[in-house]
Amino acid sequence: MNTILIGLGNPLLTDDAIGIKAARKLAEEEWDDIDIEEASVGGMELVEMMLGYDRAIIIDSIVTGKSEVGTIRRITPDDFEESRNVSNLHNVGFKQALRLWSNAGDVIPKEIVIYAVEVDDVFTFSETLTPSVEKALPVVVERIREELTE
Amino acid sequence: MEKIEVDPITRLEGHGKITIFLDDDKNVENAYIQIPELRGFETFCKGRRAEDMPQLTSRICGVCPVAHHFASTKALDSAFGVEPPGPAKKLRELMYCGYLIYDHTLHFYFLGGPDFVVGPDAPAGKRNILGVIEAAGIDAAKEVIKHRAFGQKITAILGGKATHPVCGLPGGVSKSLSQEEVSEIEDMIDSCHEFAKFTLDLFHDIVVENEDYVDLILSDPYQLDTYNMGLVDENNKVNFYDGEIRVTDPAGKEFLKFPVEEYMDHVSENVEEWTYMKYPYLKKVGWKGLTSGKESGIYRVGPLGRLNAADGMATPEAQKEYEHMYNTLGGKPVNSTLAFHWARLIELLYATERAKELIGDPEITSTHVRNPVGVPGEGIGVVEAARGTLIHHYDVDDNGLIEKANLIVATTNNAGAITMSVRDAAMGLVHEGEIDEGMLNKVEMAFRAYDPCFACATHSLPGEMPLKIEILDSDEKLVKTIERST
Repeated sequence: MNTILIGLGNPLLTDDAIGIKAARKLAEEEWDDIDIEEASVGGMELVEMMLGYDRAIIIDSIVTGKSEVGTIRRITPDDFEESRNVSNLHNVGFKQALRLWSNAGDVIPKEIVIYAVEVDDVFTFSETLTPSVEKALPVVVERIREELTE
Repeated sequence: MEKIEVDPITRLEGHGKITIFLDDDKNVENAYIQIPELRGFETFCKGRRAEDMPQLTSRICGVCPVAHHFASTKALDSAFGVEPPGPAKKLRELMYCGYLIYDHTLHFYFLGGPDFVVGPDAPAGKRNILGVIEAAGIDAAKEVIKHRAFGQKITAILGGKATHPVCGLPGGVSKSLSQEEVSEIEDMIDSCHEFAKFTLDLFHDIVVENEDYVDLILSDPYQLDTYNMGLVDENNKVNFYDGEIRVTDPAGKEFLKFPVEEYMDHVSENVEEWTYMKYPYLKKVGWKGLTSGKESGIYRVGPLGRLNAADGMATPEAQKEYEHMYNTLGGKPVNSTLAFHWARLIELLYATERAKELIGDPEITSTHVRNPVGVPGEGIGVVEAARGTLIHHYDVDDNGLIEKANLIVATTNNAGAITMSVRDAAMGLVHEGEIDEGMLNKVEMAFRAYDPCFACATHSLPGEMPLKIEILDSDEKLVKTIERST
C-alpha cells in the first residue's frame, strides 16, 4: 500500500513539534512504499500532500485538556468534528479541504489515520518538548512502527 | 474504537475571542478582541546565527512564511550593509508575487467570499468554500485549487522548498532561474492573470452590481476613519516588496513618508494593562485610546490600508480597477472595512501583472544574484505581508550572532483598528440584548475583512482556530457565549 506519513507541527513551539520529531525518528529507518514528510501546514496543503496515496498517516499534537498530557489517540477523520464556518484563521479545516478535493474529482487516500498526542505547551518558542510529551515520543513512534509493519 | 469529539473550544488558549460588554439597557457598551500570545521569541533568537533568521522566522507561522522570510532577509541586507544585485531583487519580488497570489486567492474564496457569494445571512453551514462552489460551480472550484497551487509552485521554484523558503541570503538569493524554469513560471503566471480577472468579474457580478451589498459596504457599522500605512515605490504606487513607508491621514492626505529604517521615530506601541496585546500608533499624533479620526494615532495596514496610503497601482489593469473602486465607493480614501475585500482582489490582479513584468525581464535569468556582505550591525527589514506591513528588526554582534530581535507583525499593526471595527459593528448591530446568528456573523465580518492572522501554532486539530464570542452584562457577568462549532 502506497503510504505517506506526515509529521505535522511547528518545530519551534515546544510540544507542537511532537509530530515532526516522531516523523524524523521513523525516517531514520528503511521503508518500502512509505514516504515520510514533515510539514507545518493546515487543511488545504495537508490534503494536497496526500493526493495520490492509498493511505496517509498523520502525527500531530492536540490540546483537548480532557486527558493527561502524553496521551496518544489513534483517530480517523470520522472521529472529529470541525467548525464548518472558517471564522478567522487564514486556513481551511482539514475535513472541508478533503470534501473540496473529492468534490473536484481528485483521489484522496482511502485510509487516513491520525495519531494525536495530547500536549501541554504550544505557545512558547522552544525546540525542547515538555517532559511528559518527551516520554510519549518513543511510544507513539513504536505504535506507528507496528501499524506500518502489520 | 474510541469516539472522541474535538470540541474547538477545548483548544482554549488558541482562541480568537471577542468580548462584548452590554450596558444597563442591554445595548453594546464596548467590545474587545483578544488573540493568543506567543511567548519567548526574543530569548529564543538570542545567540543564533543571523543568517539562520530567514529560515527560523519563516517557521513562526504557517500562514505567511514568505513574508517573514523576506522581511528577515532584508533585515540581514541592512545588518550586513549590503545591497543585493538587481536580478536578486527581481527574483525576490517575483517570488513575493507568487505568495500574494496564493494568499489573496485563498482569502477571497475561502474566508471573505462566503459572506458575499453565499450571503451574510445564510446559515453558517453554507457559508464556506463548499457553499461558494455550490454557487459558482464545480469548474470554479477546480480553478481555485489550480491557481492557489500555481502561486505556491511559483514560490517553491524560486524559494527552493515548498512551504518554507530557503533562498534568501544577506546580499541576494542562493539560486538563479534557468530558462526552463522561466517558461514554466511564465505559463503559470499567464493563467493566474486570467484567473485574477475572472475573480474580479465574479466580484463585480455578485457584489458591485448588487445595491444591497454596496449599501452594506458603505453602512455605518463598517466605517472607520483612521490613518493608513503601506510601502510605496518612487511614484507613490503600492509595492509589496520594497520602498518607503507612506502614511496618509483619514482624509487621504499624505501625512508621513519615511525610509523603513526610521520606523521607530514614527511608530510606538501602546501597552494596556487589561491585555497583552500591543497597540501600535503614530508617535506624531499620539495614543488617544481606541478612538478613530485625525486626533488618534491608530492606523490601518493591509490591502485597503495600502491602497489608501498610495496614489495608485503600478500596473495598468490594476490601476483601472483601483479607479473603479474609488469611483464606486465615493472617492478617496475609502474607510469602509468591508472594502478590504475589493482592495485585496485589486492587489491580486496587480501581483499577476507585476509577476508578468518580472518574468519577462531579460535580467531574470542573470546569475549575478549575490553581493558580498560587510561587517554586521543593526538591521531593519520591511515588507508588505498579505495582511499588512511587517517589520523585522535585529541587532547583530561582531560574530554575526543575534543580540536582539523584535518583530512588528501585520495583525499587530492592525490591532487597534480591528478592535474598533469589531466594537463598532457590535454597537451598530446588537440592540437590547437581541443576538442571533446573522448578527454574530456580521460582527465577525468586520474582523474577517482584515484577514487577521492568529496562526501562532501553524495548524491545529481540527485544523482551524475557532472564534468565541462572550457577552457580558453591565455587572460584567457572562450572559451568553457563542462558539463556532457547527
